Amino acid sequence: MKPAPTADLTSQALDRFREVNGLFPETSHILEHKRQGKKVLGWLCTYVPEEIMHAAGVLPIRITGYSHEIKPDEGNAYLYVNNCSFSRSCLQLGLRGGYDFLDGIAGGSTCDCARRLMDLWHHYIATSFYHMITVPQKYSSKAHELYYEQITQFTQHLSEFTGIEITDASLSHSIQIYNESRELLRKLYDLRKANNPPITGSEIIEISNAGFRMPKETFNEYLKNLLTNIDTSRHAYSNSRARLMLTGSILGNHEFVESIEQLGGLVVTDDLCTSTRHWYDMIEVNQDESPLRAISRRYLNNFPCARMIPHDERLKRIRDLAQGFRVDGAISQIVHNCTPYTHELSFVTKMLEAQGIPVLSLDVEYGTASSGQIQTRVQAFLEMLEGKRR
Amino acid sequence: MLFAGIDIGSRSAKAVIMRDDTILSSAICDTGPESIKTSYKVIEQALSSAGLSLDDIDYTVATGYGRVLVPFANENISEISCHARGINWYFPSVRTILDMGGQDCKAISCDGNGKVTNFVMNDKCAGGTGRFFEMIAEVLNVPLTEIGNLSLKAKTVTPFNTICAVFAKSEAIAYLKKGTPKSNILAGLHRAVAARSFDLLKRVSLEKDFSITGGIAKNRGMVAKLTEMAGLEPLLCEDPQIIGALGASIFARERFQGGTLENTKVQYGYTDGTGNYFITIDTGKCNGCGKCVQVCPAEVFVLAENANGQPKAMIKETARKQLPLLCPGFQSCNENHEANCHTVCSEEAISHSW
Amino acid sequence: MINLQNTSETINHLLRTFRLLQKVGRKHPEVRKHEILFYQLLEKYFTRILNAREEGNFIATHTTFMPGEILYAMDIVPMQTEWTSWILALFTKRGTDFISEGRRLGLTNEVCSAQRGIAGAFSLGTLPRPDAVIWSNLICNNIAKNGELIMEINRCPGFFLDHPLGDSAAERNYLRGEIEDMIHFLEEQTGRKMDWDHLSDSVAGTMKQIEISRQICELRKAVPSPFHPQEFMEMLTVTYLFQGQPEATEYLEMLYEDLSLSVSEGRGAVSPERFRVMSIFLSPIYRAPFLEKFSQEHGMVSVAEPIFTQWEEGKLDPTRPLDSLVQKLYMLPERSLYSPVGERTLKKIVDCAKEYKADGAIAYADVACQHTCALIKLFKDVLNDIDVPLLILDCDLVDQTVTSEEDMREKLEQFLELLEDR
Repeated sequence: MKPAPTADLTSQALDRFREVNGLFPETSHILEHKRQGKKVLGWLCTYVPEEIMHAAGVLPIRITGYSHEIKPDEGNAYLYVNNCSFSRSCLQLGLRGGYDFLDGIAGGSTCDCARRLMDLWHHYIATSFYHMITVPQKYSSKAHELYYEQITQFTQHLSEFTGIEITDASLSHSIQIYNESRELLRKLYDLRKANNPPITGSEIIEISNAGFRMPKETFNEYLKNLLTNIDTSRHAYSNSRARLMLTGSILGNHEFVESIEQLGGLVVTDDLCTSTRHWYDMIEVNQDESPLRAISRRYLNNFPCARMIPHDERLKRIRDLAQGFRVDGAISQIVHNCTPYTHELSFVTKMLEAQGIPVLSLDVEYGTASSGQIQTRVQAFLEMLEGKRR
Repeated sequence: MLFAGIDIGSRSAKAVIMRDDTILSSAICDTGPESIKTSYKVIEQALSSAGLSLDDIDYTVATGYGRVLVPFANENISEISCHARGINWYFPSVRTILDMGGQDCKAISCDGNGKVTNFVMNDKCAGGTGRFFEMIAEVLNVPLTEIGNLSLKAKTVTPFNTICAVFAKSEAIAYLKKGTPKSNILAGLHRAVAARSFDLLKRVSLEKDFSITGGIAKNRGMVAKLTEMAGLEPLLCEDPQIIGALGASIFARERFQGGTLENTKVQYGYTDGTGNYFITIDTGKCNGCGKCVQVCPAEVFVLAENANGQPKAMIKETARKQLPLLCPGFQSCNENHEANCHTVCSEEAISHSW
Repeated sequence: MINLQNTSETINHLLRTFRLLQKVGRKHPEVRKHEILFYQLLEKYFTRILNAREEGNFIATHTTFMPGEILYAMDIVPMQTEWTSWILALFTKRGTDFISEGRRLGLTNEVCSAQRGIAGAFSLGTLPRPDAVIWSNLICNNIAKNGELIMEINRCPGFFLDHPLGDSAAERNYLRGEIEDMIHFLEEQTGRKMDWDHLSDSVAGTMKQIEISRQICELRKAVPSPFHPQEFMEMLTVTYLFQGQPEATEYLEMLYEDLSLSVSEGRGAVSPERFRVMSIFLSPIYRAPFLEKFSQEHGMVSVAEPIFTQWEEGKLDPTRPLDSLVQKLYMLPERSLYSPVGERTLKKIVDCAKEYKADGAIAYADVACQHTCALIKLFKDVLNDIDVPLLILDCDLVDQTVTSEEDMREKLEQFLELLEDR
């Protein structure tokens, strides 16, 4: 449960992130960036390297659609009701002008819904920049070669678009900034290993969301400020019944996590692409290789999305997180019609249950805060976990 | 000690009053638009038939869709946990429960103590819920309480491909127009719903002793179709609709007394100056396989029916008073006999105190 | 879990049915020769699967758009997942069991019923256990993500062939590498070597089949159009199951001759021909008899399926079999659903409607097929610009519980009324 509002330093540090989310997209950072005549691009999926956009002087903003559950009128009309509610939410926001501040969009061929979202975006929402990256679905050396070739194309396209040459030096600089961010996030997330974590899963999502909507340099400052000021003796949860992991599809609304935490479920870790999975792997530049090579390797090898084949690496990493953060149970939240995660669910469930970690699976609409049915399932799940311990 | 369980469902509200382990009274009424009013109405109905007032109740647990809105409840617990606990009170051997409620359908696995071990719910859709049957009853102009019986009178089963509430309604209307008998239409709908519920049961693994709870369990047509599909006779209690509230009142007692009750464990034997000599059989776990009867070198076991007509391992009447004389105790028996009551019991239902 | 007894019983039942259908066909002069051949070919395909174990043959199960030429060239028994399970479901009436078993395995309703059914058919042991699974992401997530489950159910090794999104030189080269790797995988698993001459022959066969398919498409431009709705699924089945093989060539030649005779005699598939429609995506398999009957009653004829029968321009070169297979995968009519859908695909839809003089178009919107349904709005808009109305028909390719025949009939009739009024 969220602690009562106090003027303590931790809350103040958290409020800086909340302010970004509250004002977005009318934040001073975006306005200032545009005023300087620089470009703002939207990106979709964690397989689009942000460092490259950053090195081209672009402010990369993640496309996450509405932050709440919507009535997908245009979403359904254009993408049909059976495409995932995330893609419908994004398209609807785009069609209604919510992304008019962008100069363009970059996406990857990650899944059917993302592909179609990009197709329709291209056709119905005119932007001056549009780029689609072929993202191989496996990890072979040939796949790495193709992905490298693809992001080389992306680099050239960006250079042409912005008129800014992307050099090894500028890429190295961008890598440094993004890696710093990853290190800071790891420190922050590791605080949740404590028995009584000083920060909730809901607050983590708020922080993560802000990170997608602001310059990385400023985000790093905010993170440093939080890590300096956070009171590690703070007990963020007042009501604790079990330690949980969140697994599954993209999640944008922190209120969903909050609703689980209000029932007594401590969300201490996750494998979400809007949280842990986004920052997990560092970019490691080996000697005698170009920074672009290192970026390419990291992005294809990073904590995998359910789309990747084989799934062994993803399952292993989920297991490691579950053990590392000592979870009692896992809640899988799968955005309605998210096919890759639906297919993977039975494998994840089997693997976690073999570790003695029960899994509750929830089928949700993207952006949902909660619902009576979800509350009942979560509560019953927590009761079941308590019963197991007795 | 007096305890109350109250279950505010989406279509109806239920209350159960218990004195210790005995049901004193129960009540059912429709859920009105105001959940708080409904909760008072149903509890007072139950209290008055027991000649009690709310002040007499020591502890109240609320459950169901409206569980957080019961002002006089001490605590709320999800209906999934309550159904498992409630059915365990009636039938300790039940391991699988199908709860067919007003707006959702759940399949629950539980252990011998009525603790939930797994559960699944229907995907987001009203098909096959109480509301679905209400709608069908209305379309066919048959009282809701009659649809099940009428479905059993069908000469042929009208094929229904869908139980999507919207599609099923229009299909039913189309059949009516064609002059298809209502009984046949109902049989088809019942079969389609049963098939879907059966799918749900398969997902938690269906055990031999299973039960159906919730309002729809009163529908004989539905029970018949499920029995046919599962190839198993469900254990049904008198009023399957109050099971959630019953579970809640059992939880109320447990929470009030602190800790979990283990009322399914039956002890045989006695204590004397030399020590405690008890064999405990967990009737919740015992599956009545009878292997203990076969292997026991002292022949103290017998298989007999319990109050619910289920086969359970028990200690022979004649052996109870001389148990330590016949049975050398688990330790020494285990040394001499590789197969004994503990090793053959796959459910680990038997324990010795010596 | 796998019950071989059950499997051979099921296949034997299927074979008896195919033989019966051939016999009945021969007795009725109005049944055309290629229809009898169709059942003869199904019998052949399933007989090979049935006897594979006994004859010590290697069975590779593969998804729809895998280059089957490779399997034939290595003398591996192919078992095409989608079509074998659908045919089984159709002739044994066990489709619902398959789908429900798939659900039990964890595939929810969001996964298309075709893939749920495939996993279910394997799990129930109705399909024989393959020695290997080869699958790809052509054409959707559902196909791509089902492979690992099929491997697990059958406890067999597998190879996933990754299709790149676009068609740049680098991407074509990647696809070539993937095919090579797959051949290595199969060589390792079977202990056999690729017979490159045989592969060249198969590639030549495929080229031949593409040419005849194009000619058949030309014939369908005739007024009245000679092609029956039932023939669409039969033609797809044969060309998917016997890629590059003489069997498919024979079938297509026979079909072509029959259609050209009809055209020269001015005979249409329906008489009188009143409505020419273009079909977008696949119509429900189990509704084929209904659609045939409905078409006859209402004088409706499907003149083109731009996404399933219209091959892209291009040629195959049997002397360069690997490059040709890459080329073929890029020419596949269905691939237009995989590549980014833009001006090129939209132009194809529009051109098709014009060239085939379509009065209207029907989009079969499979409720669990995301990548096709997400195109409906795009297609509707471009067809609207040339004044060709589009009917969206919600359905499910294999799950019969989704919509009723009544509902389909009603919508189709209303659509034809609208076309009539124009």
